[in-house]
Amino acid sequence: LSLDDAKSQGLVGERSNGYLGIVVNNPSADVKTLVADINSKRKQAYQESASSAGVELQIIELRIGQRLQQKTGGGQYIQTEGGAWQRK
Amino acid sequence: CTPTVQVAMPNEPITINLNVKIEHEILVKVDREIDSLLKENSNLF
Amino acid sequence: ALKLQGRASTRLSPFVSDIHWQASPLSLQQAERLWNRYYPPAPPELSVSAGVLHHNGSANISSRGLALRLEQHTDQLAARWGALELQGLNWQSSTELRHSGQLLHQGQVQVERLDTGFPLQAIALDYGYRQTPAQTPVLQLNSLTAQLLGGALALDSVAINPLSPTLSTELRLQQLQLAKVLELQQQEGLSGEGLLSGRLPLTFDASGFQVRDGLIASEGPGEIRFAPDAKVAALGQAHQGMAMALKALKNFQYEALSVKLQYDASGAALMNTRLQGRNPDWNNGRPVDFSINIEQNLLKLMQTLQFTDKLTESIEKRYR
Repeated sequence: LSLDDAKSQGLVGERSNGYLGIVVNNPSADVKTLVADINSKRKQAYQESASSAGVELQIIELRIGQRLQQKTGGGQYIQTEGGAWQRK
Repeated sequence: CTPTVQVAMPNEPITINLNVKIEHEILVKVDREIDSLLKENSNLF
Repeated sequence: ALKLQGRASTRLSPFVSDIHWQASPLSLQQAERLWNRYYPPAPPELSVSAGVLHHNGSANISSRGLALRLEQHTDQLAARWGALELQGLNWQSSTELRHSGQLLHQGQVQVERLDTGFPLQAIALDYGYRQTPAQTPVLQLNSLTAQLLGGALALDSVAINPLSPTLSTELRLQQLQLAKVLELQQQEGLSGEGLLSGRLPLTFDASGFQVRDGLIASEGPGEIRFAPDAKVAALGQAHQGMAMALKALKNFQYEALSVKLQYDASGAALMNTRLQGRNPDWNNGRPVDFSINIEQNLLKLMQTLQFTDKLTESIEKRYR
């Protein structure tokens, strides 16, 4: 299962904190492993960016979350501040 | 009568000229970092 | 979905038909989806989270042509458009199409809160639009007022040609609180007290908004206190003028503060600031006359505010 398929099938979406979230309530095993794997790689990449920009990790997480949600294409899901999943 | 000259306290104002340029480097730096991060790890996004 | 009740009465000779209709209240939640079925599609970052539309209308068709009358009012609309968030928007309007082909539309909009990085509140707009066949249409902004930074703004009424929208009017700022204005800078250790009012000649054209020779001045005396962090203090050592300025600004009681503002569509702002007063605790209160040229990109400032707004918001949520 690729990330692009998971997104276009509406299984996963971008949360506001820069990480992937699972949209469906009973996700399959490979959706869960995909999200866990991608999020841990993202965290590591964010930590490197945070140290080279000289800012806290959370500033990178929040700013990239904002940009990823703005970049999300129509029909895919983003999570609103309240936690609800919204299709763009 | 002879004019009296008062040596007033040096009270005329000190003039200070300044040029201040405010850069919003925190946002510029963070966005530049994120641009390269997105490029190098495109498989994660 | 939109449900309409209506009634019609038609006479054949001479042919006259009258139709009246009333729409059932329509929830505007996620209206951007409804809008997306039409062209042009809704902007991608628009999401409507609340609001109800009420609409009724009447049509008269006769040998003289079609005449229409549409009334609508939208209540408590809430929406987010990218980084812009608005709550409590009420909009009432009436539109009239006359047999002659003349179109008259007028309306009022009130917005409880618009957040663009810093909040604008109690926005009130009164406008009108007139289109007469074979004449250029006219969009008339009759009045625009809002509350911001502890004070208020008002725009002079202005007429705009929607086909080539250029605009030249004046933006008046009334009794803004210096404390809140300085807070926008998010500069550690910078605070102040005082009132500012101003008149900004505002123009708009294809490239965007400009201000030429805007004047903002203090109303009455006030004070500015700047206790710089280590980085700025270090700057002070290197530059003699800056060192003196920092000493004066530690507790600066001003009699007069005035700013001449130039702003262009790129966001670049130049503020020639005159500040006259003294620091009672320095140089035994000898008067100081500052002239400070401040350059800043206000659009970047807004972006930073929107972004740090979110940061403080989310931290607060976590630790509340």
